[in-house]
Amino acid sequence: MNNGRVDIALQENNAIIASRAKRVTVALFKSKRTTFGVAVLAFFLILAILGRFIAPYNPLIQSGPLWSPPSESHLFGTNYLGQDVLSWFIIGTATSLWVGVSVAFFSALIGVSVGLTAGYFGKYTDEVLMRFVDMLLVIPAFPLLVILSAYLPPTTNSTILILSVLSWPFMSRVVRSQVLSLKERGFVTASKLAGESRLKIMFKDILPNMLPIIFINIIYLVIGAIVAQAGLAFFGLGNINSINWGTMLYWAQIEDAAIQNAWWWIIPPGLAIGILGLGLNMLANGISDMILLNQGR
Amino acid sequence: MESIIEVRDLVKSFRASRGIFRKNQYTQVVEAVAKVSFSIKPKEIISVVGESGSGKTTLGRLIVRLLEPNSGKILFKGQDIFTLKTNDMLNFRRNVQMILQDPYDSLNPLYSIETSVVQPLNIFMKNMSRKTKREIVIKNLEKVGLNPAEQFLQKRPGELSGGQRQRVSIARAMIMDPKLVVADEPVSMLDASLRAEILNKMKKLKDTNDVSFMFITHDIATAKFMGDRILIFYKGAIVEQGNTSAVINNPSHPYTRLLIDSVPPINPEKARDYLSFKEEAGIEDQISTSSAGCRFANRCPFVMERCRTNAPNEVDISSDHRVSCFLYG
Repeated sequence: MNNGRVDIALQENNAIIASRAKRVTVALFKSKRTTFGVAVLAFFLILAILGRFIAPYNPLIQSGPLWSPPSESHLFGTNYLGQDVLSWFIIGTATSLWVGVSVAFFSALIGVSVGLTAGYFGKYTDEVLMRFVDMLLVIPAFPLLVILSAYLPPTTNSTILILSVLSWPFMSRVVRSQVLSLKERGFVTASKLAGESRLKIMFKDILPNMLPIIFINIIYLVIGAIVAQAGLAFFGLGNINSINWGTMLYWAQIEDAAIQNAWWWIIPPGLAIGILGLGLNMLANGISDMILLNQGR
Repeated sequence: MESIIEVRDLVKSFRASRGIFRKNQYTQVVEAVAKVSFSIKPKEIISVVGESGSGKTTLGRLIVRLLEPNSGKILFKGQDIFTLKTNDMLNFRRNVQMILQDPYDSLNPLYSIETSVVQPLNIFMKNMSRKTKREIVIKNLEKVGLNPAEQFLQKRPGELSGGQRQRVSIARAMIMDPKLVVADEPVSMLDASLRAEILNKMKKLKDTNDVSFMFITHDIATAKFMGDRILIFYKGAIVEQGNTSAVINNPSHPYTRLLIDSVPPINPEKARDYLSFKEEAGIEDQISTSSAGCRFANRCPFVMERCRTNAPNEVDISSDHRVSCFLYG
């Protein structure tokens, strides 16, 4: 075997890898659903990251007359204190997304670890962990959320903590079932036969093959967390002084925005939650369709 | 010649229901492998023939220690493989390999062909340079007929056909020069036109690599084509074993005759004997539950009273041909 052949092989390989990355990107934008999802996500991410520079006013100071409807100077109108609703909305995006993403991260971390351990070790480990998960799953989540929020200090971090602790069980179930089915696949057997250690089989053969499904479930976790946070904030639980979509709805309700006919104060956060949820959902569904198509190959 | 693998009184049974809270309830026990003994010699292809559910795959999985038996021993180089600990076990893995049945399932879809094939080298040859490993991979891919091998290195399994994937699996199993390869129906998922090619590749590997094959199949024609020796497996037990030509030309057990008569001939007009063997009881109890007597008794046209109460012992027909049937003593 001369070196020239091997080098040529290496060059060809790089080309193949590059074309593969391109193919994934093309596939993502080929379907209208995933394109919409990516666009929505990108829009809100930009709002969240660059919000401080985009927001026209400081949301905490009076920048116009009280209860003024949308106008040129205040696109989304003002609230009961004369604060700019658009600025509230833009600044609030960051907190809402931050809660969604960190809750998804922490519950994915717990859920994947528990699911992997249960599915992989099986037997008593599985039985104990899954009975615990069952217990968490049958507890009515929202009342527990309300109670926990009432006892913990009202900060955004405690909201993240509470939501994380309560939203991982479903993820662990999904991961466990995936481990159980992947464990029986031929390539896992092949790795075993090759003499590979159990830990390496776990992290090189089993885990990578369920990353798409974990990713989809992370998206659902993000949606769930954003909605749950808004719900908690709406009831005045958690940090009511932070600016986010939930607290916007809370103050709008406390100050009777509906009676004042101030629809411009209620609709932006409500619609944003809806659109973001729809977009993420479409992204997740699109990705799972892509996986199904890929499995057919 | 000393044998590489010696199987002694191997028993493996499964319970039909599982779960830690259900263990004591009524469970059906299925004897997939029941007191099986045979041996495999170096540079020998031994075919295991049996119908689906006969336990032949279980036998193969026991020999590579993917399963633990209920009792019995498998001796590899004089040592029971089920007592091997980490390092000896690794050595065993290196010497005894398996080709899995489903080529669409036996390669990790996320990894390139090179990553999959090089895996044993990464485990056993930790100090080898990447370039040397790549050269060995290329050499082995070419050996199984994937030419030019460089083009396959970075492909994903999804980009290959079933036949190509099965060849990759064979290359991967052969890369450490094992002494024995258990091939579990390696061609049953492939197009008929590809089968002969894969089978010929394996026969050639036997000569070039000094390797023994245990070839598991449900097709006695394939078994005849491949095997130096044949084991006829029925409901977890060996009913007949011996030299291929002896077993095929002088099938002694009624089940072996049934198998041979069931091969559809290319020219049906001339073959008068096709399906001449009459089934008495059909295939009603396919699952091999443990019972006294011969396991084939319910289907056997020559069944006698003692067949139902006593299990027959192995009888020598000729020097390398044994059968378990009361018709012969």
